[in-house]
Amino acid sequence: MSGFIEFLPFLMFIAAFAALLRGYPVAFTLAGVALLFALIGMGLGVFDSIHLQAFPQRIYGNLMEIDRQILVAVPLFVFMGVMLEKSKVAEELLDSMGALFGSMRGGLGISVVVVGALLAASTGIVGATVVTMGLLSLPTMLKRGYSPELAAGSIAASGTLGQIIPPSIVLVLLGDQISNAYQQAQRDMGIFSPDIVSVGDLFAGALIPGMMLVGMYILYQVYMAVFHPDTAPAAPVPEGGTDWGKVMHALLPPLILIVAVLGSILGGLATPTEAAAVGAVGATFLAGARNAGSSANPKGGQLMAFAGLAALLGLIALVVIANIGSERHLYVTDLGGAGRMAAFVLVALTLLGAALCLMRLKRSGVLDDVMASTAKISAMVFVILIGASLFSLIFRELGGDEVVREALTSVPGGMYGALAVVMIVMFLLGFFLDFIEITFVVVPIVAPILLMMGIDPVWLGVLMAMNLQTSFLTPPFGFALFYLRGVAPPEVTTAAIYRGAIPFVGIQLLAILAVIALPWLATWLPELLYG
Amino acid sequence: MRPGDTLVLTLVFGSLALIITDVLTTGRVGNWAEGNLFVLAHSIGSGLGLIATFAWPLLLLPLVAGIGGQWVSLPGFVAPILRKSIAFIESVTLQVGGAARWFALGLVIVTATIVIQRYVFGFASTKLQESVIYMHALLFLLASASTLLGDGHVRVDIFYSKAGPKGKAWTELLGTYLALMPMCVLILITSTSYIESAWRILEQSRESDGLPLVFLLKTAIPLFAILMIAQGFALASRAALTLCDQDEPPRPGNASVAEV
Repeated sequence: MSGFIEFLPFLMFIAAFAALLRGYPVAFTLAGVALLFALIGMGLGVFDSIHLQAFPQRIYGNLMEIDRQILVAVPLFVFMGVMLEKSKVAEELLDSMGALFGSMRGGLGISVVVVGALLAASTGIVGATVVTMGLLSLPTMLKRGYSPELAAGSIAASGTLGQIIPPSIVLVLLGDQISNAYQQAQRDMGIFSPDIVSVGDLFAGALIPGMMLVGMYILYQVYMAVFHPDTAPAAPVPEGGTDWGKVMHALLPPLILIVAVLGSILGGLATPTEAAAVGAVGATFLAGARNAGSSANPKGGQLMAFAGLAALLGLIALVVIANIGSERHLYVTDLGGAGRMAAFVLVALTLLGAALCLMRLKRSGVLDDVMASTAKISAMVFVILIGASLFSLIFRELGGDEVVREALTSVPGGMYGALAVVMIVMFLLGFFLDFIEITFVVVPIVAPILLMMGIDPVWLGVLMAMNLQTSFLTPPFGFALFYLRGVAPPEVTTAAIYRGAIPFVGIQLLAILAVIALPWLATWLPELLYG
Repeated sequence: MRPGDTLVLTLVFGSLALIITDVLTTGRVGNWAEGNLFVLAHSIGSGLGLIATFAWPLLLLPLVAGIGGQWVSLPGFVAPILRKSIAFIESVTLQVGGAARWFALGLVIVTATIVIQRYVFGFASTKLQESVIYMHALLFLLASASTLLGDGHVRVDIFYSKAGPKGKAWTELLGTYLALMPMCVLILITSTSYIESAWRILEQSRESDGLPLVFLLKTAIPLFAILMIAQGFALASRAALTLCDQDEPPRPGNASVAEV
């Protein structure tokens, strides 16, 4: 009997896995399986129903308490991303980058990688990026004579960059879980003035590996263009040369927005939540400056939107100016009379522009779509957190923690062996589960154990994010490949998509090995920025 | 106007009216609430609890109909009852979800305001900061049921997407009763004492200058459970109709469950 009880947590995982495959929404399936095992545990006398009493309190403490402000960054980043998506920023970027690089051999492939990275930094929603690029770029690349393999692989791989390039929602949620795990690990080790690792640390840590991946993807495109020119032919030079005005118009605003958002987080100026709010307002301006979703685009409205955006950027610049230099002012209004005047004018312009943009977006229906999508994605993410918290609560009470700890510490090779096991398990889970479920279910269970073995939290977070990203790209179950299959024309066979993804999986594995071998790739920047 | 807009406006103007009345009558509303709100809420809550104690077997109607319909033909009154409840529940779900979506915009506006206040003018309002968390919580708790209706909660769809209409209906029916409802009933049962103690003291923020509405925020947790149970009932009813070869009503397609 006691053997069965020790086996219970293991069975619970298997049962959850089997139940999930049935296809009922994950959030509730996790809770249902957990409750079943709570009942079994009660029957065997190894689970006390008192632990269930605290469930509403856990929901409140995990999700609704005032110190959980970091979670608000999720709906705000979603709002920003959906707003950019609905305002056709991606389309324009792909068009103009294609015009810029298309006449080069391999140029279209490179522009897909670059746009993927830019969209990744601005929206961070993998599905949306893969679908958008699959709809827009795949037909163009095929028409220009790209091999279906290379085209499909480039798009799927570039779409997954959204997970690793900050500011991504994955990193916000993962960072939050790792931060909790790190505190718990230090408490368990008897350290009572614990170090803190923040979402900002993870953003900084993921930046270099993310850029490295972009570089490696581009190198691969160049390699293919040079050694297999038939897979990546050049497009004819567009008549009248490149329209630089159009390129800049498409490229500059999102780029500035990304730099402002990311810069203020990495610079330690703002929290991710604050920066996300500014990003959401900026995205609203960008959407307003385009046609705001309606067919007509009156000059006046466009001007107000750009004036608002300029005012917002001006405010950010003022805040930065106030914060650097020998005298550090905390607020813009401390800059004296001129600063105060400027601040008031800029705030007034920002408010006016924002109000006008919102009214136009409301009239065209874009705002309603954005609000509805944001509500839907938030509900999806956080309800999983509710289900997963019940699952890990009961898993823990049934002794699952001990089982996992014993398993991980008995792996040969110490820290690296345990890390390898966790990474492989997460990789396999990534075939079936979304990153949110894995982050909420697996990370709280394994991360404290790994961290107690002395693994650096930022390094661990970056490795986990890259690992999941790779998993989503790996045939035959990778999520990104499913999304692409959904929008790819029938002449691109599923086999071609799989074959196209394999070289990129190879690149991913190389990059993961590089980060394992050289941890400073992940840890150097956060240490430089935050000490 | 879209579903939920009227609800939002009613709530906004209702709270404004309460605040204005409170100010005009030098705090009578607040005093009344301190004296009577808990007693009133407690008797309403007990009444609802009493109804639930006796009416809960009705929740099983779709399950019984779906499984029983495999062997015997349904009595003629069952399908119309299921259809009527689907229509009613889903209209409520859409109203609430439609209202909740405004919190997304509210989050952006209020957080941006806080950022400007803090970095440009150098002051902070605890009330405003707490309102962000309130909106965040209400956004996902109240939009969850309409997300369920719009099929927005992630599934592992490797096999589900290949299943036929009946296979999907079995998953819905059994999932609702084995997973969704147990979780929500657990929340309801365990929150009874939790919410009661919050209302008993009309729990306020821990900060002295914070919002005094923590008891209302906490009440959103059982409200979430009730909305989810109701919407789960509606989806289970749809599944039961499909399993008994009856037509299910068309799914409401509209903006509040728009595709991502």
